[in-house]
Amino acid sequence: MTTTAPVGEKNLRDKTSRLHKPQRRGLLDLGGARGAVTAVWIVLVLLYIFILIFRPGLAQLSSVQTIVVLAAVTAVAGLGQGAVIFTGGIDLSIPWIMSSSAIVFASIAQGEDGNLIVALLAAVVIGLLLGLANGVGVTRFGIHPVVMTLAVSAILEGGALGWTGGLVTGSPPPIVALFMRGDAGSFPMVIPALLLLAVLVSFVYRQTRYGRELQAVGLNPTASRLAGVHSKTIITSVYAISGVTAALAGIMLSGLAGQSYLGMGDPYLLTSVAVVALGGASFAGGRGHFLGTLGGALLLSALITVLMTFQLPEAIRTIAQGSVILIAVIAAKVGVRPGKRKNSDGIKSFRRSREKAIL
Amino acid sequence: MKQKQRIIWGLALASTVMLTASACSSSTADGTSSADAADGYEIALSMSYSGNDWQGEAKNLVLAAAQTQPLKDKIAAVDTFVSGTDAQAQISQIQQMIAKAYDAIVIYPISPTALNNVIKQGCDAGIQMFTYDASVTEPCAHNVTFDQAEAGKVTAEYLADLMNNTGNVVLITGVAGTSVDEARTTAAEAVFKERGIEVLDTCAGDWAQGPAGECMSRFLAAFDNIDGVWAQVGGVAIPDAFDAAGREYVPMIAESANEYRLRLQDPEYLAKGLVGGSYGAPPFQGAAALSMAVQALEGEEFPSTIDIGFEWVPQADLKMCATGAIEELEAGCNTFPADLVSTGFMADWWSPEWTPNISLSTLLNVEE
Repeated sequence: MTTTAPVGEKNLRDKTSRLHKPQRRGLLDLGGARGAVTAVWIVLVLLYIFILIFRPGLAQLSSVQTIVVLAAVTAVAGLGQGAVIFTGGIDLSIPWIMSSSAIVFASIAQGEDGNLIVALLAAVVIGLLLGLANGVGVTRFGIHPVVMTLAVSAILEGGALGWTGGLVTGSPPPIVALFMRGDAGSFPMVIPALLLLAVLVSFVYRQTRYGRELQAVGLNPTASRLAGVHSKTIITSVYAISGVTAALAGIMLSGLAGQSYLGMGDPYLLTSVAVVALGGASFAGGRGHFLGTLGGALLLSALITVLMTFQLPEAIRTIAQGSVILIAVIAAKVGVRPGKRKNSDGIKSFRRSREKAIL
Repeated sequence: MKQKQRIIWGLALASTVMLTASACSSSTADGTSSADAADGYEIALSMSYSGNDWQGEAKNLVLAAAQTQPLKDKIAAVDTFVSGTDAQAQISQIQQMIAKAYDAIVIYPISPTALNNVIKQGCDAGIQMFTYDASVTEPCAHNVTFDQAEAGKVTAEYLADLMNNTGNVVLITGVAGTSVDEARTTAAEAVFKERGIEVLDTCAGDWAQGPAGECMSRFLAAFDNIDGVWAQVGGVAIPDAFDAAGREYVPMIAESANEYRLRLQDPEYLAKGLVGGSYGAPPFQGAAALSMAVQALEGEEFPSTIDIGFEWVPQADLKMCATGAIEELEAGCNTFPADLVSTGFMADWWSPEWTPNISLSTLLNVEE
């Protein structure tokens, strides 16, 4: 982690000098990701304008709905991935937590709405326990996140295969499909739920003690520990969050697909990381926000659909997708540079708030 | 203190792992015997990937075939091994089988070329080497398979007829870059071109409902002029995508999933205009390979590629089974009640030639 850079400090002071107080926390408090988050949403708006002009069919409400719904699964998986990446880790067990939770969900639900609560609880608890196992392995045993989450992933893959023997019984209740798809073109409830989630996450991140401690740990685990934060508990908690969001994403996916099956989470290994990167997060930790991840997920989903209308061969389409992600990330980086913040600011403001709390 | 904490955390982690393990306790043990040692051939089944309904059914059919007549008296044991998706693992697994001197080895090959050397070793050791569904290029192996291009052609022709040889079709393909996908898709595209139907776009559905449904949702968002869907997998997710988008069904071809066949006969779906047909890679190929391996051991000669056909069922030929008893299956029923089978169950598992004495309950209750 970098230490105080006087130049950066000065720049910031200049930038904020119009405000009388040195208040640097905006309403959303995007931290160092502000530039990148803004950039991804600007790119999204530009893409929408492009669609309006060149592919007006895609701009109609039902098409936009489809794009958002498909992005929702990635965004929810990306929420957990983003939290883990914010602490400098990575969660590679997301795909198999998704698959195993969805399989358990389907086999308990047996396609009955009446079993929804029990099945949902079981799936979420499984996700939570697996996430906790990841977190404990990383923090208490010092296992590298890549190794720990890969190991959990492998255990799950084998466990799911052994338990089901490849034959998944049961199916998700119709209400989950309704939640994800709406009925006969009606508005799917997943969209307002996603908005609510974004508000909730932003609130927790900006306003709660947990959010601030998380920011401190992400920016500098050592300094935050010295300042009195239980950084290991915080890091464990982000893996637990990732486990829960992966379970939810798995359930959402089973609603979309109409069934659960082994390996259903596989595509989300890369996409959950990609949308976090698109959202401007730093893989060293300490920078990123769910609004960026959400924007990244929407951008990726819209992009795939737009590319579809150009009728490119699969190979070219994959290349185009990769290139656009790369360009978007680079553009976000360029956008970030002028407003580059140094990590110590966050720690200081955190310390201030903590001192206030103590006083 | 520190030590104590470590121990507590260690115990916590260990108990989590044990919980996970016990939750999935019925894991498939390697090398389970299907029958007590008796007079008869010892046969090994080398599966690669086993994580879907199709593979599970194919395996159970092999075991069920070995436990029913006409093979029951001729086979002492079928030992099943699963190597996963790693070609090297399957190679060393087959090497061990050769070392154990099985009479025949039935293989679902993970790669068309990587296993060639070890298969040659098996042939040289006098072991009958049979593959099913996927094939290998080693000439001494016997590949039990079906004509993928023919499958693409027949289904595309049926769809073109349903579409009156006009309009636009979208294709939901399998895993891009595989020979099976290539053969089916190329053949289908050729038919559409010949019939004057425009292919709007193709999308890789990866032979799973999730990606196939996503493909269809995106197609519906992107195009408002779709007149037909030719898919390799997606019978469950494709109609769902139409429902979600509030769009009218168009004729669709999809896989032999039982769920899809149920819908093609469901009055509720028929009222909404669901028309189509169902086809797929038959799961009885493994049982056929087993049966031929026994015949080969008895002295019959087999070519290197054996085409055993596939089941193509247009909507009109669908027929519900009540329980899946053999008499019913012989009478041509080809769809099973939803409460008897898993949601991803493939309905085209029965063959009068290769699985004559296997009823649905035999298949579902087969012992490893």
